[in-house]
Amino acid sequence: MTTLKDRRQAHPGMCIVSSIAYLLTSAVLLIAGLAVWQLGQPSAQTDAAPLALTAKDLVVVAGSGIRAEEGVQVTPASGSNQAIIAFARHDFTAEDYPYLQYHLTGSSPDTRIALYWRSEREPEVTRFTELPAASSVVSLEQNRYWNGRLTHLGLSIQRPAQEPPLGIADIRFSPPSTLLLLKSMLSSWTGFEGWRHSSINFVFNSAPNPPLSPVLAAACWMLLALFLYGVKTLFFQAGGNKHWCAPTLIALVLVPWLLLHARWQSNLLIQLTHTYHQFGGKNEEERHLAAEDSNIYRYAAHLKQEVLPPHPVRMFLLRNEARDYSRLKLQYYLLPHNIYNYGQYPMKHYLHEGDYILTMGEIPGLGYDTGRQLLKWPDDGQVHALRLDKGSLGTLYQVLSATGNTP
Amino acid sequence: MMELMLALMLPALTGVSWLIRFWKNSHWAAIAGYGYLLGILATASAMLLWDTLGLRLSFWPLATLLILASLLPLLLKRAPTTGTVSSQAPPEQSTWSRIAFWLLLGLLLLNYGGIFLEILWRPLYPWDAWMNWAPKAKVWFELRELTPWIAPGDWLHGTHPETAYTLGNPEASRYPSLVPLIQTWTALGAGSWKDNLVNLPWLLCAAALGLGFYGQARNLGVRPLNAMTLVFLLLTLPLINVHTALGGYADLWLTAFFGLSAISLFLWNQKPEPIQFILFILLALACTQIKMPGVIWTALLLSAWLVSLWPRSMSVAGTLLLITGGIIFWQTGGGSIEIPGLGKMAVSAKRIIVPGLGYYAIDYHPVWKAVADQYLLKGSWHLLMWTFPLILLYAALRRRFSLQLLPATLLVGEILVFLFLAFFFTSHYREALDGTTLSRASLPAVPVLFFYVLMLLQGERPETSPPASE
Repeated sequence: MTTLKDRRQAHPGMCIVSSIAYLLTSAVLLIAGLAVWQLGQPSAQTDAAPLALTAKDLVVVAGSGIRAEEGVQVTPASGSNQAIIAFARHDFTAEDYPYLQYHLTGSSPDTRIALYWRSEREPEVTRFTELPAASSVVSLEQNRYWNGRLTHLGLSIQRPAQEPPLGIADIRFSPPSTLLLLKSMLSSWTGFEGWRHSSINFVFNSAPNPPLSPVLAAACWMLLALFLYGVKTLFFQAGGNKHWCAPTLIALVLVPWLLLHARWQSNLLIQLTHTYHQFGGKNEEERHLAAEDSNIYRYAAHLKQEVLPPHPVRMFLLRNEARDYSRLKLQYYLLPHNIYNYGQYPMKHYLHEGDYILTMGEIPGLGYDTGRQLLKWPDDGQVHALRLDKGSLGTLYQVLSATGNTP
Repeated sequence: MMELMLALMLPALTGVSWLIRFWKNSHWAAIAGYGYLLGILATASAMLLWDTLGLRLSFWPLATLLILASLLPLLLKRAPTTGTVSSQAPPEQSTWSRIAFWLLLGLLLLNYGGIFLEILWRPLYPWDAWMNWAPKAKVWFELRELTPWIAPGDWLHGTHPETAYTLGNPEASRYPSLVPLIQTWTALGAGSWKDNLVNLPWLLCAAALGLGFYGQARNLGVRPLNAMTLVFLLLTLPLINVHTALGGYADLWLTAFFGLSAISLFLWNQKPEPIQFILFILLALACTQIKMPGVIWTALLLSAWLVSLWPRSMSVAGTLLLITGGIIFWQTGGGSIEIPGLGKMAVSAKRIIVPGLGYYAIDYHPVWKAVADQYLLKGSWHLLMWTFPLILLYAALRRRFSLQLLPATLLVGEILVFLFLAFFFTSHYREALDGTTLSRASLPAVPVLFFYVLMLLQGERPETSPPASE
């Protein structure tokens, strides 16, 4: 067993140097092991050539596009902010080509890009996988739906239509190779992970859904280095003394840990620049208008400032979806109005004269008879109500008589 | 702007002024960290009292109350000065240690400087923040009164006053009020409801956690660099960063209150100073006012404390007896008890009823893969979940598990058992599968794990005397 005295005998500088040697050895062994494992995979035996898509293979089916020499410059449709590029060349078996490479120009923090496909195995189901919104090498090997002969293939792009066109080029599907595996790992580990609604629950500390978790890689790196150090100390220590060098142990743990932190910190700084471009230098109102839910904020502001009275009112918020983002966020922005945010049809027994009913989106069976000022819904439900406003997200009514009869 | 600064600073001033008076031998960082959390409790209590008296919430009257509360300790008798751990002079820190210390502090400031700007620029973002927590604060601020929040059914039936509100999440109206009170207070200081500014206390909460942890580590006799390293590793964990940058959830507050409460318990167990015990109890009880599961975290703390009361010679045998008795009790049908003020608690092999939380059917769900994914593969924890078992192994080999550490060891064990039961045996297993709450639910355990590691590695020898300025 090591004693404190033993630890003092080791020179700290030497301990640090030896820890670097163990970490380097561990890294080399892991990469070599990965290469050997990859070569042993049945899928690695294919000699298929990569499938490179040229400009003529890219068909813009939503939004607008200009063909460039090796790709396309695409602008999303202004209403939906979406562009869809179908790949004319898709007649291949997915698992033969598990690597996708592409080059993007003009990407922005608001750009969301996804690969979509259908295969003969599930001809009616469209599968999606989110891609990094930057030039990348992406492994599709881990995606359990990336299999079978493909029938449809393309990219779905979401980004504000007012932004400059997005350039997409050098799209290439490749068979398995160790180099591409390493490239895809490196690409995901250096890729950006922006804030998403799931960030509050967990983060990847890499581009989303990496082929190999950077934490697992760092842990393997650390554990193998510790193992090598343990073997050396226990079985190959000169003179028979088992000196455990504390700085070596600490470095073997801290270096991989701090490397993960460096990645995380750099991601935070990139996120901060994106946040600044989106919100920096703006006042409260402008920040809300620059946010991803600006349409909900704008609608709530319109109701509060132009339609509803200044004091809090009782309101029923109705929608065809239960607890979805829009209805909950609209409730937040309409506060301090006193809102019951459940259901899709008015709850007639609980309505009071003067209450407000806000319907969001289309609700099947719910209609308004303008002439008789009746809000109607299935099973003979009706209430006498005045339509106050019809806006982009919903329609606001005020209950004139909760009985349904004209007062 | 001045009012906002005051709103942010006054809770700290109030808590710190009391602790300076009554915690004479503590490292200043512990006073600052614990002082802020105590000040937050004082602020929330003042608001509740104010509203109970039927007065409209207003910044300056409440601020005056807090200022008076800050001045009160000056009139009270000072606590006697006694050494906390050791009175020996601190050993000289090597130049390299000093450089490493300041480098880590600089990196921490870079990390949290960015987070500060992120809070300042981004409107309220995470889902539960605007669905469950901020709505209450927004209404309280707009109406200047703490209007009740009730279940949707009660709202419909009009069983409460006209001014009662309900939320889009049926459970959320029952959530405790500390977090929305913090936001209401900040909005009162800001003078208007601003989505970003109401989350500035989240930054201070993270800072309080770091300061409290560092100060207590120094009180324990840990070298500055070692204490700073642990604080750095704790505060730069991605999930802690996320909960600070995307403020609005209650988990960071529960983490700070639970973590610092546990650390006070650990230090009180090492040397029974009354102030450590008072801090432990106050912060432990406050956990019940932060989140619904706070009741369980409080129960974990109190049970670890009860074990610490047993005679040392009885501790191991008593703990084993308690565990064995618990298993026999559970397997033979369990039982129920009415807890005054909280409600019924019942345990049996088939179900468990937790006061305030509800009924859970007990059934085993093997969610090992999902749990491993969250703890070992996702990026939320860096290498914490890989290294913690290694350190336990190291400590076992070095025979570092002493009787003095038994309450801490028990608390760590309780936490692991609690998380295991919650996610493998109740309906919460679904949230392990979809990744929504497993990591968040584990967050309060993290400062405890770090401090436990510190105590295990520290062994039984104090390294320095505590009141050094560094």
